[in-house]
Amino acid sequence: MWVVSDFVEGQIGHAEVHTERKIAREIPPREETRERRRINVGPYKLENRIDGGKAECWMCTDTRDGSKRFLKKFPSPKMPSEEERALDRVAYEFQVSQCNSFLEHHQSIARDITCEHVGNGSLVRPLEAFWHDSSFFKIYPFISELTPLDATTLRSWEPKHRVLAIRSILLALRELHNKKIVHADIKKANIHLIKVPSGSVARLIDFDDCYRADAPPPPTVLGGTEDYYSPEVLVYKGFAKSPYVLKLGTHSDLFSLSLAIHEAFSPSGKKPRWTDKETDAGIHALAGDEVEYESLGTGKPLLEYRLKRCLKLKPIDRPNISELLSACGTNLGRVA
Amino acid sequence: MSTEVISKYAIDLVFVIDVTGSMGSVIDEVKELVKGFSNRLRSTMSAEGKGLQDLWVRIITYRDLGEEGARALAASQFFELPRQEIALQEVVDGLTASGGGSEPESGLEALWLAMRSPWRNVLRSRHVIVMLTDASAHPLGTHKYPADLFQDNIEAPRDLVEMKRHWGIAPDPGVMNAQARRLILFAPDATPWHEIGERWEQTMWLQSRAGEGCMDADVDTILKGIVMSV
Repeated sequence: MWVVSDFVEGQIGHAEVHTERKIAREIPPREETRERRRINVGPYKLENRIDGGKAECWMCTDTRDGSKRFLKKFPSPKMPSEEERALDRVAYEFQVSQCNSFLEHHQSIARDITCEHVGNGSLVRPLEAFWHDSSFFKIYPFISELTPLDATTLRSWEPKHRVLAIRSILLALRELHNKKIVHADIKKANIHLIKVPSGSVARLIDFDDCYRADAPPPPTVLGGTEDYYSPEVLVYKGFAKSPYVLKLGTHSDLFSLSLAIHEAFSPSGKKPRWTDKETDAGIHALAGDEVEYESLGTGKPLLEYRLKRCLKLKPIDRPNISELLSACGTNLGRVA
Repeated sequence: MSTEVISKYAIDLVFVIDVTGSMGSVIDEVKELVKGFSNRLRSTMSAEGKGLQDLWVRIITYRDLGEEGARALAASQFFELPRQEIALQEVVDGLTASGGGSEPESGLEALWLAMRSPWRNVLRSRHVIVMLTDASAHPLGTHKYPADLFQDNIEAPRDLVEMKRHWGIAPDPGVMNAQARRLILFAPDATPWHEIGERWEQTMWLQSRAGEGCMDADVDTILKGIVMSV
């Protein structure tokens, strides 16, 4: 049985909410405890728990207008309790200020994630972020037609549609990079495609690890997925060393993006190969190993060459997003 | 050719088990769980799209320091699975539910001992503590820590707030690896588990019934909890 806290009345986001206590203190029989609980988090009625990695993720309904939403409960940070204030007021106030800063950071990033560029928006931006009881929550729109970037699906695609998809992904990421925001968790699972008559439009999701390029979070807080760590992230988090000064920034996303695109578009459906031994891309880049980058079937050698260069050790040796976009060519027609 | 490449995690897992009289059923579940544990975990993880690089498991048991003194806490070494599966099985087969008297028990001291485990720190490390109890715990400081079990120089926490700080409050990682630490709590809605379940970072609380042997902690639930936390 997943016990979710006994949510009580409180201020959530912009709305004053009044929720019922849904969890009885009497624990029901064992079989029943295995059943999924239906409770409310403020105005959001939880329905199905879905895989969200270590975070608790739910499909839910906004009871105010009946719309379907995606809710994510963060495993950290946590708001301290009143009992903690009584024991150590200074520490309590510091923690509360950290929690408030965390909320402000997420709200500020969400405000900057605008989606005007392509059709209905290339970035699936969060709708709301709030503290509720001890936990931090974010609400995302539920988009049913999202299709994960997947090599099996893409295998039969014509070169032109491959380029269109890659360009669409780059345009989505450029929305962030133009605002000096680093996504910090670019991976195949966070890039989705929506089919449109002329091909496909990319949607980037999951902005929970985003940070301002000039203000990366401390190493213990910097998120992301280990498989996609760039050399500078590995060094920053203390997993590797380098004689070079490798700064974090938007170029770190391009390292990860190059891996994700290779997984999606290469014949093997895997990350690029360095040696027979399975080791992380960032580790190989730090060792100066030469990468085997398969053809992506785009018919655009310059684009594929530049994508390969995104795996260079030093960020300065990697192309920027405009250079990648220009290598897609201009005679592609509208994306959406 | 498979196109799905999955991440492989190096998991260090510590079971912290309340072995007082009412915990017989959960001890039986743990005995069942560790039979072929690495294969079972590997296959459960695989079903969730996750890979297991390697697995180390340690067992910590506890009763009540007030009743039994230092004998109330016991800890095994880490066993590397599947290579040392028989040795782990022997430790688990030797567990019996007895004693403890009435609540509370010494669960916090046992949890602190688990936090101070000799964890491995590599990329994709996961340091998972699975706590299994059906009873409340004494406040820290009620009884002395058995000195010989704590072999590092980090001063033990004096209260729950200090212990939470040691667990880590972002951005301070505390004494554990901030990215690797996970706590899966099978515990009743009782002091201090409610506070820990609700307020500690990277913690998953699966509520058990007080005094009824942690009945919800069956093999499948424990396995699933571990896999979800990774």
